Amino acid sequence: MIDAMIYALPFLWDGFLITLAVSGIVVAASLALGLVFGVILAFGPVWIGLPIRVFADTVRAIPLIVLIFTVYYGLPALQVPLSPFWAAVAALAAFKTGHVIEIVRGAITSIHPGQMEAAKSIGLTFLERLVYVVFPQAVRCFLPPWINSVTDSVKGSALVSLVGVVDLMMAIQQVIGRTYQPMPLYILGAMIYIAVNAALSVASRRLEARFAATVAT
Amino acid sequence: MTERKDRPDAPAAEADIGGRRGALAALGAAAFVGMAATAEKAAAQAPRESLLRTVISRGRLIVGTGSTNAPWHFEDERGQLTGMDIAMARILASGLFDDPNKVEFVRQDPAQRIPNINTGRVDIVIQFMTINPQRAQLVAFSRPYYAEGVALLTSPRSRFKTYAELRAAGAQARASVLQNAGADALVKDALPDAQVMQLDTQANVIQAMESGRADVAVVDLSTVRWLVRRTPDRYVDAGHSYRSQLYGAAMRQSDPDWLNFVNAVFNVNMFGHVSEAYDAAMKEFFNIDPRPRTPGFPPI
Amino acid sequence: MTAGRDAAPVLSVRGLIKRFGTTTVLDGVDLDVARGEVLVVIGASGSGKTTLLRCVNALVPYDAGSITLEGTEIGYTAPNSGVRRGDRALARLRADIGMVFQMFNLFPHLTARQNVALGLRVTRGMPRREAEARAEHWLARVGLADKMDNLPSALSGGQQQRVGIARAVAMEPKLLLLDEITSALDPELVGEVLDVVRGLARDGMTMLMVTHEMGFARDAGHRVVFMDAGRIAEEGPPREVLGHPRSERLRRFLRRIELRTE
Repeated sequence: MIDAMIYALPFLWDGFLITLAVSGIVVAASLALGLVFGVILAFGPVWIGLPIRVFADTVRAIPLIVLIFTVYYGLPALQVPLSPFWAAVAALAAFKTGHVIEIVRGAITSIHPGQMEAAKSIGLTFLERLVYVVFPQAVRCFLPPWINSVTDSVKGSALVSLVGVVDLMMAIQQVIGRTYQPMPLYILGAMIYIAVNAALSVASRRLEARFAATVAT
Repeated sequence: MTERKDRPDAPAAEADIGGRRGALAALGAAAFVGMAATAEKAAAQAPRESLLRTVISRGRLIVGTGSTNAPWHFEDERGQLTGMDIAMARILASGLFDDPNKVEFVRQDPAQRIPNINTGRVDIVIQFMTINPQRAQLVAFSRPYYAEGVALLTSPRSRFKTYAELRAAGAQARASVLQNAGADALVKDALPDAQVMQLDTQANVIQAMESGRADVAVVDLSTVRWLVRRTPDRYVDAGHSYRSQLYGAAMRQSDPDWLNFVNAVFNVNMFGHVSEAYDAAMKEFFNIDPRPRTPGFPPI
Repeated sequence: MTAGRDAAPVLSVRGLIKRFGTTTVLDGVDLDVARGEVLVVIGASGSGKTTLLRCVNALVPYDAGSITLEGTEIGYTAPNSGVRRGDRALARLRADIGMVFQMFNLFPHLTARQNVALGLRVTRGMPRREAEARAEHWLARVGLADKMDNLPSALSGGQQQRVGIARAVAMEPKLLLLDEITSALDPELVGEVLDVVRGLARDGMTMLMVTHEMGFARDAGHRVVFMDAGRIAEEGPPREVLGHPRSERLRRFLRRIELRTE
């Protein structure tokens, strides 16, 4: 069992890097876009908020697999050639952005409107109100669901194997396809994913602790 | 390869139920579907030029195949793609460019075999694809390059090692098989009274037999031969094979030049004078010796 | 009690009309606040007094009329132009109008010192050290020299409100708006807050104050305005308005208030 695992490790390395890359890009892109659109949704007029709402609800309602295949096949036909890697990443990022938009909106609207009024009354502009008053408070509400979403992104990154991108999952399948010994490899794969998510857990607890200290309820 | 169902473990869709937001999502989904349908229509309108010309001017062949199933398409110890399907692809590349390396492999899930042809993502699919009438309506198949059978795999530690023993065991015998619509019938054809256990991947099917949860694994004949040759101390061929499925390469329809070219190359390699690569592959992956090729009346 | 009067008023409200849907909350309000004057606004709930304050600070838009601060129109580009000022312009104007809120609205993630210093640093662009020094000065003036490093959660209601006052006043605004600043406080804490406001009034701060504290209105206010159904029903020096109410509605209102406070 252990020998099989040790044997497999070198073949899994590239796939592991791909998994990290996919997860990292998806998390970063969805955070950036989700922040922007979440703020717009929370503060902007209805006619701007509505398409954002429709987008967020639609992508979250479509199963990820369907989303990936639709992007993978749909974009080239619309004259947008994308490699399988970027097509899958785009689909995953869109899915996660929908989530982050919701989380951001929820965190912002949980803040008492009096806070914005007080911030206005000392002459802060919109961005200044966000940076100095809203975000420091909203981040406490934002972090727990967002960290969950990050873990989901890591797990969801396994789906890129469906369009032929050799991530950790597919690398595992490839070794199994040669050795016909699935058990050691599935266990090894689980251990790797657990390790990644454990690292994320530790990081997230530190993040939460840091922000919890500065805000008292 | 025996047909298989769609991949099972899809992550649960976080659908939003409820009133207006559900309606908005439905609206968005409808727009989405409309877009996808347009895209599909655009892809279906095949360009005039034959793929044969396109591939030749491109300078390399793009082949859709898998990477997780020995001895058809898998990675060897050095991480290089190899297998019978790979060998056929290289045979085609040689026929096109006199260079078996001028081929680019696109790894794909079996579910993508037909879509990737029809959306033009690959020139040809060589991925242990069984020729059947339903698929033949959607893609153009080459002449068969292999006839696959079904066989029974046991191990030295199995309760019943040979076909005779398995037959005699009747309802005591437990058979594992790849899950799909015809799986039950597949097992019953060989072992009418056995209990049937359907599992999601070939590797798990074999694992079940090895761990003793099943007495026999019902898998492709080529897989049985491959495993028994490589690790005879772990696997035993129970000695019964049946059924015959034709494997062919899949291409897009309405392109006679391309289809005819592929067939010509396959024929020449299987029955004609350029047969080294094909014979070597058959020997390496299936331990099948080449047939004598006698002149005179053509064999096909 | 007289206040030093300049020729032009600091705040000038003309014909202010504000509707929420079909309800008219402010039905044509005319008001002037002179420099150094303490104008107290009283009235029943729903009379529009809080809305008046929020219009002055451009926290809500209004439908017609004009509000000017030292001659500059606040919420809109011109009187009755209907074109709301942009966020930046509003921010700059609001910097000159301080506001103290009924629910304090302190920033819970900042200490008392940081709460007061924030506006100085970001809006006034002061370097951190200078801003914090000023903050400390004002916190000492409101009697909280020993609580500068406390978070709002570690302060009593009265202390929080005093921080709120310091935060507004540290910006050195031309006009200070006070919106029922003692209504949410326990009775024994009201005095310390009102004392601070009295001190500010003595030092010549121009104030527009909505309150139920008749005692304060009587001895610290220069003028009292009684609002009823979105209009100013009575106005004048406190002795007159509170001592000799002319309308039946004001009489009834005062009776209800006195019954509660006595």
